[in-house]
Amino acid sequence: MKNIVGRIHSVETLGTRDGPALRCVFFLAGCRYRCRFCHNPDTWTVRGSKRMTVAEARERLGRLVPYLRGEGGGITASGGEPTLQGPFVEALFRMAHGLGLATALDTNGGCPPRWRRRLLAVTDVVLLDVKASSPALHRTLTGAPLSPVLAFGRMAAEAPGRLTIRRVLLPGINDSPEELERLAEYATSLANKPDIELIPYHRLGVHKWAELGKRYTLQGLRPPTAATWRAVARRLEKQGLTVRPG
Amino acid sequence: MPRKSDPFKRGRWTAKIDVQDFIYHNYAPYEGGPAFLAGPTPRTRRLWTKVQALMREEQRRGGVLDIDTTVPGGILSHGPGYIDKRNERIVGLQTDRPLRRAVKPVGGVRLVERACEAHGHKLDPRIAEIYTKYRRSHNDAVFSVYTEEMKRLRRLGIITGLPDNYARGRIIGDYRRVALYGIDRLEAEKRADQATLVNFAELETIQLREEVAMQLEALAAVREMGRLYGFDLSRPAKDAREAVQWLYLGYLAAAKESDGAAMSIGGIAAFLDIYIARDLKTGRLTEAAAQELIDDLTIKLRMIRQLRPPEYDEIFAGDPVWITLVLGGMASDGRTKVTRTDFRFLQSLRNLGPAPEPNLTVLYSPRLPEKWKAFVAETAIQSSALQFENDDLMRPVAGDDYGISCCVSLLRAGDQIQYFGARCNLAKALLLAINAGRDETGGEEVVPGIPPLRGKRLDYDEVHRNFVKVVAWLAGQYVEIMNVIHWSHDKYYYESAQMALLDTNVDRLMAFGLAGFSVVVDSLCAIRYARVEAVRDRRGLARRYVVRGEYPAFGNDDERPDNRARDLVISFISELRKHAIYRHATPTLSILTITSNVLYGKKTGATPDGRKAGAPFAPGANPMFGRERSGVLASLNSVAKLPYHAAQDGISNTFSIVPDGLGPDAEKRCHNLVGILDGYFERGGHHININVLDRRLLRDAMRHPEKYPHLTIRVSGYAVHFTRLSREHQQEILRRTFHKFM
Repeated sequence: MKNIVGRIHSVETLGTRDGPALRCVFFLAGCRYRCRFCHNPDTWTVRGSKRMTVAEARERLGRLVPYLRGEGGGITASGGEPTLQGPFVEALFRMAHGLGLATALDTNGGCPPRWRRRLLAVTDVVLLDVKASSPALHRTLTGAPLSPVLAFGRMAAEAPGRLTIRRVLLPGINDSPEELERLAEYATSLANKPDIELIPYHRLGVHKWAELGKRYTLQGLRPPTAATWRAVARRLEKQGLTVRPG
Repeated sequence: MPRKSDPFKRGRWTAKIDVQDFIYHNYAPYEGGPAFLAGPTPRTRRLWTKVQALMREEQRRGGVLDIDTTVPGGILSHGPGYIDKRNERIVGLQTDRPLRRAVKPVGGVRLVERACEAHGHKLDPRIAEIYTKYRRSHNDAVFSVYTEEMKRLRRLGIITGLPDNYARGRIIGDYRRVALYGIDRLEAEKRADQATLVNFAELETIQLREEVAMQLEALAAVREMGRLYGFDLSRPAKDAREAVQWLYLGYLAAAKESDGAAMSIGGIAAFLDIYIARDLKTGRLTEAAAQELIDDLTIKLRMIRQLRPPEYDEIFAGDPVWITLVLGGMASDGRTKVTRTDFRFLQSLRNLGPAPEPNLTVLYSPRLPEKWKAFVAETAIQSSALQFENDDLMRPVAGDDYGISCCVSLLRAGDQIQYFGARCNLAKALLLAINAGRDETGGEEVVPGIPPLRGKRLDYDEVHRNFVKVVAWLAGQYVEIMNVIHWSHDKYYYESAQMALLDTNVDRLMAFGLAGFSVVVDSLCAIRYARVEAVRDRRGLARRYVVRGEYPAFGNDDERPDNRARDLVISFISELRKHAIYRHATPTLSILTITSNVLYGKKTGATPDGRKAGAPFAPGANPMFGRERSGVLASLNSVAKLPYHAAQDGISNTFSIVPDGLGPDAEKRCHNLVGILDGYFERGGHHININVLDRRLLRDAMRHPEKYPHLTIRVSGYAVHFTRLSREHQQEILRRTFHKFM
């Protein structure tokens, strides 16, 4: 257990936006999605990542316990796509629970099917990115199919309060009435209704694409205005969903 | 007709002078929320508007509104002064007119002359004559005693910021005593003390006896000053308004007599709350009227001004007085010390808008009432005008009645003082070790017996051996310099008004300090873990350093640098303890550099951590900008590891964050800030400033200062108006790490 090695891109000790309260966020390296609006393209591969054992993670985390243990705070596995490192995340989360910390999984839903149950068993909060709600748009935006994402979400929602759906609001792309309708329909069909975190698209990661020699295909896209954000939130709220800014 | 009030519960305080005991028996802990608070009354608004107009005019005139160049400042030098007599609840100004500064030539008349000239005034030639021909000043005395070596250390900025050309400050008179006991009782106690001081064979006894005589003169002067304002300070205060007034006049006397670099006011909230609660109970006071008293006291404290020479402003940016006022904390018996009046002081920030003075300092414990924690977090986020210090660390050292001197330094209330000792530039000490004991900028030999290093690549063991020698030698010199300064200050610039409100036999601390701390830790790590080559000039002085490879830096919760950091602190205080100290003072150490980290950096050559010559140091114990790689909490943890037992004068940490970084909405930001504070103080951190701001706002403030008259920024232990900082300081604040998120 202790010697299981993870490939880590970086650790942010003061996470305030990825799960409840304060969290230490482990950004894991490696992702199979190629989202066009990705703000961490530097985490797509394991190149340049560090190896970290669960024991090393424990040492780091142990010193942060006094900050993290209040109000459901704890640890978040993000990335990259953490579910691609199932054994490491499982061991990391078990260890965190041992320290009295809550666990959050920030995922695109592309979890290998045989790891779904095992990871959910040690996860208190799932932050599921549903980047689009129509299969074609999801594939265009991410290069990956939608159905596994929805299946993972359905499973995650079996426990009350576990699932939060995240949607990066890309103005004019994934905020059409039809998109939102589908998103709401999916969310309300789940065993326990998830909250929706509506994250305004931002351009803070654009420079990384150039640094990696990649072409950013959403050059013209601008962050949503506050009014757009509110309009989208209201539309989802009308469907009986709770929406919060992300 | 108000009901008659209950008498105070009696205790040790009735027989002896013991304010802590009075508070302990009479205060009412408050665990509720802020709903009871009152907004500003129209009267408060009008008064504050008037003062703000004066402050704007002061700003327009380059920072000083007016100087009385004809009368040296003293407790009775100026008659009563008012802003708007009929509308002031609490009265008293340092001179006859608001914001008019007095001259205090006993510190050094040439400095006063320069300060006057810098602001377009000319010191009265008669004053110049008196203080040149007939009266020796503190400054003259110190320099006549200094050795050549001491002068060199000072001139080269190795031991720097010394209170040899300005007043040391840092003493906190127990101003509550004026209200609780009245002057007559305090006088009687002092006379009784004086009667025991008759062993004239000991110089120390004669010295103390003379000091008590000066204290008695000061007490009489305070009583007379009160009379001129129409108050009878000979007796205790009878109600809340008198208590605030009496206490303030005690402070005012100190601020009229001395222009100490930092003159804190201590913990006064629970004390005043006892009087306010009593008057509220009997119907003498309404909540709005109670708030008026605190608002008026706050206004008065915001108007305290001292005349400073230009070089003082260069070190201590923003015209500060450091009227540090502590709030909150826990009592020794487990009750909270938070009272409604603690809330009222924070409410003044809302009623009057945030400002750096008084320097509000929250004594923090994770055990504080949750509603108070939420309120202080909210206030900190809104105003950036609060700092936090670890009550759980300090209470075991000082008990539950203490003040904070200057920004971070613990002083027990009523019976402890400190001799302020500025700081040693530790980065320069390291460069002396690398340059065979010679100054890195001019090559002057400073420390004898330091062998030159062999080879281009710096060898850790060799450098460290030299560094240990340099530190040992410097610590000895540092103690002797302090001994000279404080002997002279006691003799020529004694703080009678403040000392009169303390016990006669006080416990004395001598507060030494370190600057450039994280630069040295990182430099040692660079030499140890990376490959550092010194590029030397013809004289053999290292002008710059080539660093190859990576090294672990302070601020990442990494034991390698953090252990070195601990060692530096403990080793330095151990060296100081080897030397005899003036008046048997106990040495303490601080890692605190206020805004002066910019100036000290400017005067320091390149360092082996890769820092360029002249680049600023990080403030206080902060890690160097941009070297934290794992986010804020790892950085806080590194600082929290520094051992408080070895640095009891304080370990200062400044934390800047943009609001978004603290959470998505106001409520979560508050919760998260509480989480950060709980964690940091539980980890053993001593002090933290919280700045919640965004870069855009600061850029705009640099371009349009007039738009942000109240933008307050915390800089290591202190809050200043952003617009009062020099361009250089402003840019430095911008450069500081803004913890960004992925």
